[in-house]
Amino acid sequence: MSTDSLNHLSITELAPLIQSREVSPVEVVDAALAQAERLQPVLNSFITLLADDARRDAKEREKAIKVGEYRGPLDGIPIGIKDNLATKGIRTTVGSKVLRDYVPQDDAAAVTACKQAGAIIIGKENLHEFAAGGTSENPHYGAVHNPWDVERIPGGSSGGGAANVAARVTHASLGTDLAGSVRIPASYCGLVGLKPTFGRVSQRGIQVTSHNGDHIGPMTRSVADCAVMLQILAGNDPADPSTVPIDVPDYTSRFGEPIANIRIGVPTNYYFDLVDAEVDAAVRKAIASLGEMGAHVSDVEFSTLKYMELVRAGTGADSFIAHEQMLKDHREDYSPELASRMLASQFSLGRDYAKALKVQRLIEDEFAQVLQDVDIIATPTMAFSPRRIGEETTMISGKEHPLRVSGAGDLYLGHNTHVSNATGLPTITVPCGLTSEGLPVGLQLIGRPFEEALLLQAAAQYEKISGWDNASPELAN
Amino acid sequence: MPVTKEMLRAMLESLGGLNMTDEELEKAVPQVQIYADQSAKLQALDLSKVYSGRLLHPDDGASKS
Repeated sequence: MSTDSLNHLSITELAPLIQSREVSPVEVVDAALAQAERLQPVLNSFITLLADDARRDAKEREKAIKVGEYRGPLDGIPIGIKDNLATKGIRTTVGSKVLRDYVPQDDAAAVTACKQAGAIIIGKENLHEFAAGGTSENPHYGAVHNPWDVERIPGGSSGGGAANVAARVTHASLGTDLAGSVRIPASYCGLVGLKPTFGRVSQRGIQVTSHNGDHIGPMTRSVADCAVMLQILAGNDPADPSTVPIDVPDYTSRFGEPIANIRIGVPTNYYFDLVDAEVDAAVRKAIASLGEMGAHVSDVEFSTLKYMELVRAGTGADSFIAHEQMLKDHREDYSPELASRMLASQFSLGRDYAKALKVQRLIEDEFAQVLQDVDIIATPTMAFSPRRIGEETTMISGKEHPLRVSGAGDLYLGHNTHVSNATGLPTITVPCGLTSEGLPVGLQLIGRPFEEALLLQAAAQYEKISGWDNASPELAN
Repeated sequence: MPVTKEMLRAMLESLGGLNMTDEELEKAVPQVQIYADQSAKLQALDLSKVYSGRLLHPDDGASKS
């Protein structure tokens, strides 16, 4: 099989070939590294490429599989790891200058899980500085480029990982999501991206994070691959008190089941506000397709989301305390933009923060109420398509709008994604078409706590009829 | 309530926050103004019946993975 063909296979297509020894992990990793070396100058998607380590690990897995020690569908599969997840003995910069030489002594729990499943890590992936933004225009390691249009942002903060999976460099990437950082780049790069329920996947080993709302999640080319990744990542971690000790189901068990009895709610407010006309049309068409497959589609409303901006301000205060010491000791190593955002967050009053926590609870309660009447909420993942690198504005339905950062206005990249970090609800994005400029659009599905299997079922059924058909950007070929 | 640079500087001096340059304070003003405006929106909202989200279960901490 040719190198190009291997790169284009999904995990679920490649795994049986590795298991049956028709293909060796060494061939697969060599193909991934060749693609990485070809595209790194274009995409700038890695901070640290681990070619030697990956080749060594692939040889070990090849030897083990030969003697019958096959570990499952991730065995021998090349993946990427966002550079804010700790990797033992490998520098983990968090996309920052402050931590440019930081080498953790332990792996993040999710990294351990992937290694134990036999995955081959081919590199640490570029991201927004300190994972604190949605563009991946990194001032220290350079901007990541979107493989669908290299003049545009890939989204962020897990931008390098999404660019790699979309460009057929890696077969999956581990990202983190505090306000949409898995779903934003997954949507902008035409991928499936999952933020699991808060407490489903251990956060242990995320570097410089907030204690309120961070998640680890996969970015993949298909819903089935997403289920493979979640199966490996999900579970209780006694060393992470945020994880919940409940059983992990088989995430593919409902894939073949029809969605005729699923009730889908479509918000009449907030999520479709200021959505670009092309995005709106693609998402509504996707929802209509689900209806044609038998799902019951109805309107839902969220009156509490008008207070979401205060929750964002609270998130800023949470992040500030993660940065306080570094801002004191190494402020000159921060970009001026991030330093000002973080410093402004120190002015959040205790009174306002306490109110923000109560509002967060109000929003959670309203979602719990709505999710008694419907099973899934469907929205656009992103309100508009990716803007050009360096631009401070974006076009929505032909009109130019200023783009502002979290905490500074309604129109920002995480508008539709951040809510699920506040509620902790499982949320997936799945590709639902391209704009007239050839840029991917994502459909976001939100479910009840720990009901990832239902989300994956609906996403898999939609994927079958979406016409997306594992589409890839031209530069991947 | 309009937020000013002088107000923020006084807060830092009296409450022991991280020192900020004049330029950094200038940049912080619009963001803090947004916090203040958002908080003001809540004045009419009754939050007295919002209960705590903290829940502990008897088997929390047990390993079932």
